[in-house]
Amino acid sequence: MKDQLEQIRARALAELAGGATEEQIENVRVRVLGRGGEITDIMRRMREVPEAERPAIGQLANQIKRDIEARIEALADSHRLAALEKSLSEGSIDVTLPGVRIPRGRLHPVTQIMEQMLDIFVEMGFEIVFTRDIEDDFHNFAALNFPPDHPAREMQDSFFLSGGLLLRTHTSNGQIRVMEGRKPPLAVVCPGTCYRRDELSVRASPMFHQIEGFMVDRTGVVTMANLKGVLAEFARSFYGSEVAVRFRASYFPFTEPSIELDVSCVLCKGAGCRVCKHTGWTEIMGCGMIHPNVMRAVNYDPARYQGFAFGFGVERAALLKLQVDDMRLFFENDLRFLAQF
Amino acid sequence: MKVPLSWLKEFVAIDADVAELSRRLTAAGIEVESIERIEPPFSGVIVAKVVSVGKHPNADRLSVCEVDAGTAGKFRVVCGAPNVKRGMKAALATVGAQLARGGHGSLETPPPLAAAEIRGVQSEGMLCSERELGFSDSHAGIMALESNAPVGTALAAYMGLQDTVLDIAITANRGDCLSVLGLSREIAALFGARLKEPKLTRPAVPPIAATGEPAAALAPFPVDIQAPQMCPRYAALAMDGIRIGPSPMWLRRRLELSGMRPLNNVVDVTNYVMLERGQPLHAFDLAQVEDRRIVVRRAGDYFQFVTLDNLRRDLEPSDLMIADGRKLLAIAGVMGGLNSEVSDSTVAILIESACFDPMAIARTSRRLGLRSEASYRFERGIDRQGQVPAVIRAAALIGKIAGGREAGAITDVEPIQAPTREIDFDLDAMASMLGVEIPAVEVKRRLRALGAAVESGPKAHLHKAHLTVAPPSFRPDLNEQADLVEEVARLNGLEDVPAVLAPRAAAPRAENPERAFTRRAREVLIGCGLTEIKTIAFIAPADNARFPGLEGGAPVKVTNPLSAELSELRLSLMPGLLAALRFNLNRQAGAFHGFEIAKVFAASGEAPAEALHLAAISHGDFALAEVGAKRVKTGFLTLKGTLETLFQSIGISEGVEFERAPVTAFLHPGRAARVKLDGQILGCLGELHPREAMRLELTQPCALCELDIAQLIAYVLPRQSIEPPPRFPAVRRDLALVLDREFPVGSVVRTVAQVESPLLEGVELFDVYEGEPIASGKKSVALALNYRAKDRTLTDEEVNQAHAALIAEVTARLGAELRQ
Repeated sequence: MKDQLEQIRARALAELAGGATEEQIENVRVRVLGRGGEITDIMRRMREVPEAERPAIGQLANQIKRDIEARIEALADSHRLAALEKSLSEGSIDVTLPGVRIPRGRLHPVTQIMEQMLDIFVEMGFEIVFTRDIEDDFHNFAALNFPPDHPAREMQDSFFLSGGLLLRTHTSNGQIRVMEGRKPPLAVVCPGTCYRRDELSVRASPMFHQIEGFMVDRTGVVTMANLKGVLAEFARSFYGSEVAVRFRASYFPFTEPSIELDVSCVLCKGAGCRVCKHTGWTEIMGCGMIHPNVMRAVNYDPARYQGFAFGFGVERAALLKLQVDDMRLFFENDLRFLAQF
Repeated sequence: MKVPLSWLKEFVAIDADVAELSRRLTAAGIEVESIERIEPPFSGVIVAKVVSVGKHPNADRLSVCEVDAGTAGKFRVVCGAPNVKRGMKAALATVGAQLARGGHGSLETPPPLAAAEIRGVQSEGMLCSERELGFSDSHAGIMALESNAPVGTALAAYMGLQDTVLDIAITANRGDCLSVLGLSREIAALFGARLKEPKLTRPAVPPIAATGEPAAALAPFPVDIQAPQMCPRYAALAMDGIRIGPSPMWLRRRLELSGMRPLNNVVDVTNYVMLERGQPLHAFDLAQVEDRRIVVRRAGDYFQFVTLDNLRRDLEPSDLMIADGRKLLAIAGVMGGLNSEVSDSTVAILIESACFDPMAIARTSRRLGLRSEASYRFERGIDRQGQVPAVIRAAALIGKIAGGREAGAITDVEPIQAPTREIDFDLDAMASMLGVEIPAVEVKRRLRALGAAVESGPKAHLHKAHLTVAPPSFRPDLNEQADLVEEVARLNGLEDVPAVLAPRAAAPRAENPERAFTRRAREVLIGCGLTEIKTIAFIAPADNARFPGLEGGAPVKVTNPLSAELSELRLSLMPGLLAALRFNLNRQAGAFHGFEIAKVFAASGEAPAEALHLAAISHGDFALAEVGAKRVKTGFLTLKGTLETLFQSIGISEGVEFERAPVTAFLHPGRAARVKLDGQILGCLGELHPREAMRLELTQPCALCELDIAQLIAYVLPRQSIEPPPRFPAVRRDLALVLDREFPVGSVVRTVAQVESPLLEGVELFDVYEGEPIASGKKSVALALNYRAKDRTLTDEEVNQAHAALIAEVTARLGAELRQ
């Protein structure tokens, strides 16, 4: 019986040599380990073995069974591995094919510029308030110290609607709307769309975006020195810390003193070029201390409160920053332009 | 405004170069926009006197001239001009001179002048015609210079052809700077320089030749001001003996450099004095003034008037007019009339130098669309005391260059006296405003430099820091403290004031909800493949009629549109999106997916209202599929998916409904839905109606949606409470229901989700099937139901019980059958 077992083992292991196919392995497994297999047969015939040898034979039979099982397992493993290897080489793809996806859309450049600006103001403690596009004469002009028939009104040729209303020509109406309803201290920026009677052209658009801002507190708290500090900080944050800033006197009806803020030309770095009309400077915003008549219009006592205000066009800044020279690009919505942002 | 530097230098002594001058002016609010150097088109030409003219020995038409060019020497010149005469002054081009381009009748630049032998006589130069010097096309003879022209000086210097012209932007408050005198005052104040205002002396009135004595004509010319509020002052002067002709070269030159066209000596003088002193003048042909009087009045019954540009103008009764005893003569401060224009035959004139109300002039000028140099200055406010000096200056010039004699005393009628202005100037308040203190001495110096009278004010004994300031008459813009603060600050180019960051005004505020929403919405939408676009709010009425928006209001009309195509404000963002689609398709774009967040406008009743909308458009391939695989095309469901992603990302998971409805005429009736949130209509979603698609020549389906985002904004900020992940497993049971084909799947899912079943966690649609073995006209809707308890693992039995109860409830509510 022992010999028989050894024979079974030898034959099986011989058949389970390294090159055995999966079919051969399966044949051996069924013949040796299967229900009617050789090992089972031996076990069934254990009664024929003398009692004293039974444990040894049993042990041997089990040992042989384990050896063969281990061998089969090892062979199967190597077969699986080989199959995996094969599938890897068969399943390779051209990694240079394009990906499957939804192509991402783009944010409009004016939005990106506007958001960048608002972030700077929010960081400096300003609050954002949106106000209305359709305005009355009081909030767009009169309260901002534009008397009727004043030449300053012509700088901003308006679109009129019925009932004495108009489309705001600047976001400065936001200053009036906010101050009317609230008391200082205030630090507010009002972004939005404005409208002026200009044909859409390289330089102008009948609709464009502005950001108006103002800071008001008790007399002596928010000063012209603060105006300079805050707006120079904004200019450097937005245009780059290397730009030079220049404040110069100007005129707006709603501020006194009125100031124009220039930065060194972003194109020529102040050397003088076509864009800056060879002055080395580019105008970026109008600002000034809020005019006492504006304070009076919103029932603030100009002897008790003071502050500064500023405003500027977003498209103009975008043109400068992006070094694009045609306003129409912002409103044509040509994907070949928009896709670059 | 263009100003020749040479003119300014007559009025103010400045050493600074032009760059420094323009820098200081600009910093002080007088912006120099450009600096143009003017060069003559020739060189090497000097003033010379013709000493003798002799016949050329070999040519009848030529003469041989001896010319004296002073220090430059004496020259012999052969000349062919018929007008050369002994004793005349002429322009001599010496050897090496460069004459003007085109001077020889061709467009080429001529070569430098060389000495030449002309028919046997050596010529050492050339006497020049106007054409050779580039002044005109005249080549009939040599140009005769004035008899007092200084021999030997360069012609360019003598004629003022070398100059620098400053182009200056004068802000609306600084009418006083719209003149050489005004700018010179400003420059003097900025540089601490001396103002050289020329002395104005009136020539004695000559006696009338016929009688040898001054007649009644010496009385001032009668002026009757019937509208004193609109004309507080009117000065006038009659002059006779006028000989109309061209102005001398220097005067014409200055006008031209200042951007004005010379006409004749009288008109040129009125313009010259206006440019010099800022006081607009007008000259009437005195022969056309009837009844020997001027009346300043409103137009009243006159409803039309012909201005000197020969255009008939419509008048309003309130327009301020200048008239005589019988008719209108001019639109005051705007433009004179054709009927009293100075012409070649004029021999007597009346000079008008008046002060008109800025608002009145602005109204009339704007309404007529008629801007003149005069109206421009009146609108901005002129010197209240400048009328008489301007008349004196003009009379002197007209006397000199047009032979005019004063035919009477100067009229000076002032029905309304200028109010005296005294401003109490609080220096402490100025320091509070600027954030820096400027010493009182310096403040006084600056204000005085500007022409203001400054005294320690009436409050001086109480508060040392108060001044009383009387601004000069030419600064009507200075009226209160803030105005003076600006003057003090700007005179030093704002450089006294340091830059200091502001204190935080108030406690930080919560993020603006509209910004928070639009920011997030934009991020989500670009992630879904849509590109943000911006369109202009003005559209054509036809587009509003096609896309009437969500609110159903009437279009808001612009009363003064740029064009009929832009005459209304948009009711909806869709026309803009479609225009952008068409624009890109025309430029070979294969697909277009865009969105816009912007305002729309509608008139509800009387008042126009605005609303913030979000709209999207999608056309063409939507996603990039594997190469060779079928592309995902846009349609109702892809855009709906985008909206669902948007809602989800702003925290709205429930309460949104897409309710099938033929929302509007422009959407496909079978592929359109109302979008509702908690029962409120938010907007619509659908595919463009094939009829519209055909009109726009679209070849593929085009999905569109538009939402009013006011309600959505409210959902952004509040955050739902966060739940920890469940600790016990869920059990899934499927359910297939057979329903009518038309029954909306959304209602099935909602009905199941709403069944009272404490263990039911979620419902998910996983299949919709029509066809065998389902009866025709029916469909099978397959749902996966998740059951879960928070505190334990559910037993099969519990789940079976809950599921059975749910099936009973659902089939009953929906009238559906279970699919077997």
